[in-house]
Amino acid sequence: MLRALAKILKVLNSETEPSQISLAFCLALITGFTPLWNLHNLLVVLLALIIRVNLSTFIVGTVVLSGVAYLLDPIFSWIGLAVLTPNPLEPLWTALYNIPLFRLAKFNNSIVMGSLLVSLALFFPTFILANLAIGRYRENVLQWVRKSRVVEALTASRFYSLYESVSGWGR
Amino acid sequence: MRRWIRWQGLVAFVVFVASVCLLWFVFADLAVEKVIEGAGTRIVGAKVELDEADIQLFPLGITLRGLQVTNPNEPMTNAVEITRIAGLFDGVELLRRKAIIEEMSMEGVRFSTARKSSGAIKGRSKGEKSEKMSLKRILGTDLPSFVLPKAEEILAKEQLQSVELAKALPAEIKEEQKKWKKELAELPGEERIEEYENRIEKLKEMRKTGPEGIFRAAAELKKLKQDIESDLNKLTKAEQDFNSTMKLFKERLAQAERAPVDDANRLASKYSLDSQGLANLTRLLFGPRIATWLERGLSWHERLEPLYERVKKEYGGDAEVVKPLRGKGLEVRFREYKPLPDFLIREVKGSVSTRGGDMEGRIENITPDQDILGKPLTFLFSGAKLSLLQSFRVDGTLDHVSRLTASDRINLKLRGYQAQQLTLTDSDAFSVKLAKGLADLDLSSIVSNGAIDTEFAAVLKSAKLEVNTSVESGPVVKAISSTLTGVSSFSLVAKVSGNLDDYTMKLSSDLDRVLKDSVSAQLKSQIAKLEQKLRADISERMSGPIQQAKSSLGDFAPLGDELEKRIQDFISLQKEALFKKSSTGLPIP
Repeated sequence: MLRALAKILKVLNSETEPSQISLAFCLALITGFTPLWNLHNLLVVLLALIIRVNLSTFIVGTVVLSGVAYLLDPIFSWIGLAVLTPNPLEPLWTALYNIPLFRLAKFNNSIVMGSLLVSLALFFPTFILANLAIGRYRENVLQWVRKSRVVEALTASRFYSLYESVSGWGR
Repeated sequence: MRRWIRWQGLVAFVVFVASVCLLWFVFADLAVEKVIEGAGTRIVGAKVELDEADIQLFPLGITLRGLQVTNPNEPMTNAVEITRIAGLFDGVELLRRKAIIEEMSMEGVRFSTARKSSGAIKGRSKGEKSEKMSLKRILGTDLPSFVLPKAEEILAKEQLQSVELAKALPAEIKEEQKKWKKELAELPGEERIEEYENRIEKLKEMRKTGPEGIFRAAAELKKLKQDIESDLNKLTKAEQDFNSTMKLFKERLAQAERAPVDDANRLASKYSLDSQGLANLTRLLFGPRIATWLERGLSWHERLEPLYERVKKEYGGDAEVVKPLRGKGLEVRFREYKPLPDFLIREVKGSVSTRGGDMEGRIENITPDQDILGKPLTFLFSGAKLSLLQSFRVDGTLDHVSRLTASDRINLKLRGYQAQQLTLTDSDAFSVKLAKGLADLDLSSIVSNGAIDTEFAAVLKSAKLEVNTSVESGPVVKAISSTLTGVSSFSLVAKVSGNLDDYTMKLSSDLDRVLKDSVSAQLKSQIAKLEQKLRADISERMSGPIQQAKSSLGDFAPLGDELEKRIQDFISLQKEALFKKSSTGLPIP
């Protein structure tokens, strides 16, 4: 059982390059900010599974950002309405509204539209910033964390030794 | 590229999607059940429960079993219970997120079934309190108690102004008497007359001194005449004022003497049914029950509004923003090339079970987007030759195709309903139950632009009314009771009109005249006794002050005689002493 769990964790943590972690977080930005059960999130999940990104970052990021999204929903709704209601864009939206795929994607919902736009707008800036942050963390903070008592206790456990024994699987 | 692509991920994705689909298959029924229960509970304001929801894929459809909708006014009773509801979705429109059901069937529809547990939800018990509060507003009056209070009770409660005024009258007369005594002392009297007589004598002496004396006397005489006239005017005015005052006191005394009769009449009328109340007893007897039915009907009309009208906000152009029935955010709806509502049930057919028998009916075009569909919601239920009914038909329209001309209509025709044990009125004094009877009912109601216009007519034949009175009830209630017990047929017409939040009801019946005659006769003798007692009691309270007032007035009147005497003296003085003329034509004393 522990061995199986260790293998799962290994898969989830297999991609550890800064860009892989950052990209995972940026994809989590989309799934976290937008309502989870939307069509576009299927595409994002597919990308997260096919592209070599850090899956644990993607999962944790989605959960954390979903919580943040509850607080930001009024802002997303305001942005969504501001984009959906002006007359100049109406012909575009009307055309999309009559395509079943976009109707299923609920693009005409103010929160879906607002949160999607915000997450796409933040995608590249977040990627760059996350890359920088991960680099700095590994240079300056990681050593200190590894020496902390919590991590030492964790690495001394049986579960960690199992985890180490399966490391290299999937690379 | 290979370094960045994880092809195993595709397998994982397929497994993930398959898992989600599997979960959906497993839990979709439960999810739909919870959604229906949640949305229904929010709309109705009481528990809506479903035993089972079953989604079928081929063909795409839904079946609901064991739907119970609690009556919010009676949490232990279901307003409606439906055994089975089944319908097929239009699969193509479902891709456009439109739930279109062409035909839905309902089986086992029953009303007012008992529940095993309370269906009340917290914070939503409006119930009977608000019904009672609105009855006075609708009927325009409180219900009378039908029991006449005793004279002592009335007099203990009422402050009789007439008694207070009568008590104050003697003191006022005495006060006025003092004032007039003082004034009389200042008015010209005996002394002034003597003074004038002396002046007259002097004039006579003056005349004897020769022509010069005569001329001087004439001038003096003119002045004397003016003085006498001035004094006479003062006295005359004083007499006029005195007479006005005297007249006022006499009127007040007469009023005080009449007061026991007037007050007794007024109080007796106040504490018994007046002629207006007597003329419309049926309004007081049956109005509360009809008003309660009306209020419940209107509250259901308001509760079900989300099913036929959606709250919308327009932003200009063809886009409009709507609040979804459930969910977060706002949905912006754009023009559709093939407009259809998001939710539509084109036709619901079903059979309804009542105590009177089973009826068939249908409802068409259930959708909150009637403006898109272009058709109103209509319904029709009918039945004939049922066990307790000769025939029944209810039909109506909820037309919200255009918000500006929205109107809701319902028409009901019921013939030969064998009513049994139907409570018509239930007050503290008595309750009236229709033990049995054959009823024909007609109802026509329209709600439009925030106003209601309803007419309800009922004809009851072969009726047996049971009246229960409390032990303490008086002869009036007993008279009503015996009259109603003897009634075997009557008709009733109720008309409701006004704004939805401020309407009034007018109720009339051929029972009115019968009840009025019977109650009037009883009331007449009771009121006469009460009036007599009130009159006696009030007279007793007033007799002391009235005697005092009479005595004071007796002391006051002589002042007027004195005034009159003085006036007569001055007039005599004026006539006899001043207006004799000499042979020369000059006035001489």
